[in-house]
Amino acid sequence: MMVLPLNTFAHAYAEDFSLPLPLRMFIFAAIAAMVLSFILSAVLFDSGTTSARTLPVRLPAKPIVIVAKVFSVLLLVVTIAAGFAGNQLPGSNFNFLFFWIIFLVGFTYITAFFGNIWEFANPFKTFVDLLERVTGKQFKGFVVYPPAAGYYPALLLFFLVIWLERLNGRFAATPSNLSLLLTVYATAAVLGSLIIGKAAWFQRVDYFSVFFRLVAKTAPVAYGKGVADLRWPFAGLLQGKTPDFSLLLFVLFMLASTSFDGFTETKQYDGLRQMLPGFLSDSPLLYGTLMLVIFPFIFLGLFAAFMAAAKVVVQARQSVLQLCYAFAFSLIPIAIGYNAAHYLTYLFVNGQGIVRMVSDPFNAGWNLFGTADYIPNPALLTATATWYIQVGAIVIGHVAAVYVAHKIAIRLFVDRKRAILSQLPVMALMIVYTVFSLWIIAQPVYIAQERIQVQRREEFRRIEGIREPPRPMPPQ
Amino acid sequence: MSDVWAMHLPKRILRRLDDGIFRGVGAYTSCVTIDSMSRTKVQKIVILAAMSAVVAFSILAVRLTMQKPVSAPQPDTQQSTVRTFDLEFQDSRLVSGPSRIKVSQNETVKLRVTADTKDSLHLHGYDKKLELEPGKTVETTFLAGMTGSFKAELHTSESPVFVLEVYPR
Repeated sequence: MMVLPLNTFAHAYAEDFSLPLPLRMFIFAAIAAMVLSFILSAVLFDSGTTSARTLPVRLPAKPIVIVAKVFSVLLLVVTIAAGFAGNQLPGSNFNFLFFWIIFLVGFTYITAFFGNIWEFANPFKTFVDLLERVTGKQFKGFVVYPPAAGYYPALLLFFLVIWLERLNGRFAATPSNLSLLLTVYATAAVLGSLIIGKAAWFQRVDYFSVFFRLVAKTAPVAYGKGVADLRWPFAGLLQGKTPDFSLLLFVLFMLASTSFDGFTETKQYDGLRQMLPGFLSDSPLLYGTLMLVIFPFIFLGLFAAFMAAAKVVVQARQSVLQLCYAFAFSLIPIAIGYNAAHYLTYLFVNGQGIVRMVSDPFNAGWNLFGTADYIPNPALLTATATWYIQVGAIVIGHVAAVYVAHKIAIRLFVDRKRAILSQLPVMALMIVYTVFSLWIIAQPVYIAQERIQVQRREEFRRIEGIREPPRPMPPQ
Repeated sequence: MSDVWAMHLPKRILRRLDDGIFRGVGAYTSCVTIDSMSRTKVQKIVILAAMSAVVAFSILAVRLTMQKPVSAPQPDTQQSTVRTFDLEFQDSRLVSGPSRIKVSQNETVKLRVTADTKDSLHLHGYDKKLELEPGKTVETTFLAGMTGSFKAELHTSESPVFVLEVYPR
């Protein structure tokens, strides 16, 4: 017996079992974020070093590297094969559960805690490495990657992934389509490495690499050649800054994409649609795409405005854009904290399907690990536990962001007083982001009961070939 | 620093916390009084704005939390309250009944559903499936033991038609 939905595509993503955050917790969290910000700014006033300190602990990483490489290639192969060979219902295919939930959501948190495992586990990169070994020459490319292109290719792919997940769920949730996409992606990685060189591809184009590299900056471990160095959590965010506009946009999109995901389920999202002209309000896909494009720019505008305020307050000689570059990494903890709050029940409730599927990845009736009959428990996380974890994740993300921004300011402005003063607008900005995140998780799921649904139903019927049953006469 | 929680902190951290807070506050004020006038104004405004925001928020918070939550849980003595909800669908749309059903944990929920077409209604999480026949009223009764937000959908509709919210007591 299945508890989770099998027969629909749309819900494969949107399924969110968390209740709206109660008002009292919303207010408590907002105040906690604010008070902690001020306390932290006072405590950090005379804090010392600003460099990313590593702890004097160094571990051998060779075994992890080898295990991760083998494992990730195996998982990619199984994921692609399962999509082609297995059941085409997303909820009962290994491929959907593993890629969209365990990997894309779950692995983000593993990276945030255990560092950039992806850097060496990346199966696409392993393919290219293997090809290099087989052919005996290095993939250095014959076209020089244009520096102006920056991280835009990775950003574009990031956008596509979110677009597929949120707005075109039915297509990408269908296992065979997902397998096709992954095959294309793997082929593109090989061809891309051939053309522009392996280094450029995995540095600038491969979305997963760019994304996990940014997430891993929060981790208390950094991997070097065969070793793992422990460091303070979030210390990685103090190393360097966003080098150009494309990576700044990428960081803002990390923040905006999750907020967008939550925002699409609110009443306000639907209300906004109804205010738009006909062609936009009639097409949820067009409207959603437009919103997804606009969203990061709203976050950018907000960020730039508060950075301008910081510039005025301390009369900084840096331009507003330079300040944006300098402080962008401090937004990453907020993005991860909100991401965790948003996807919590999705990962822990929907993700449970994977327990069943690892035993029978190709729906062939296997029972490899004896878990093929596992029944997912929708009540694994109680509503109260969910609320506390959500609030905890958001507040911790906020506090970490304030901490990182202070350290950056002290390094940037040298003069302590100016550094601290510059943090008032920055803190205000972070409070705005945090309260917005809290507000979204405090919203109930909104269900639009109007013509859009009828249209979708017609479309659904057309596609699924469901015949309309004869209309009964209205009772007199 | 005589709070109970603070007693568990190591001395070194405590001292830092004290120093930090006082010096931090000192820094704010000294910036305001010593630096040049034009900057002083801006800084003053910023600090005042930030402080008033906190005060305003706190007042708002106190006022709001004083109010009783709308969905106040029923007294514990009423173990088996039956909450009945009538829902009517036309054209795969909810035309009558709540699109957001709020109940407390361990209440008994009774759904009575009418539709104008043959369809099937699926409530996720609780995994209830209702086969709807034109013009007939189909009902299901169950104990809302799991907390959370559970969507229901019709087979013919791609988006959810209502959501059942079960709040903890």
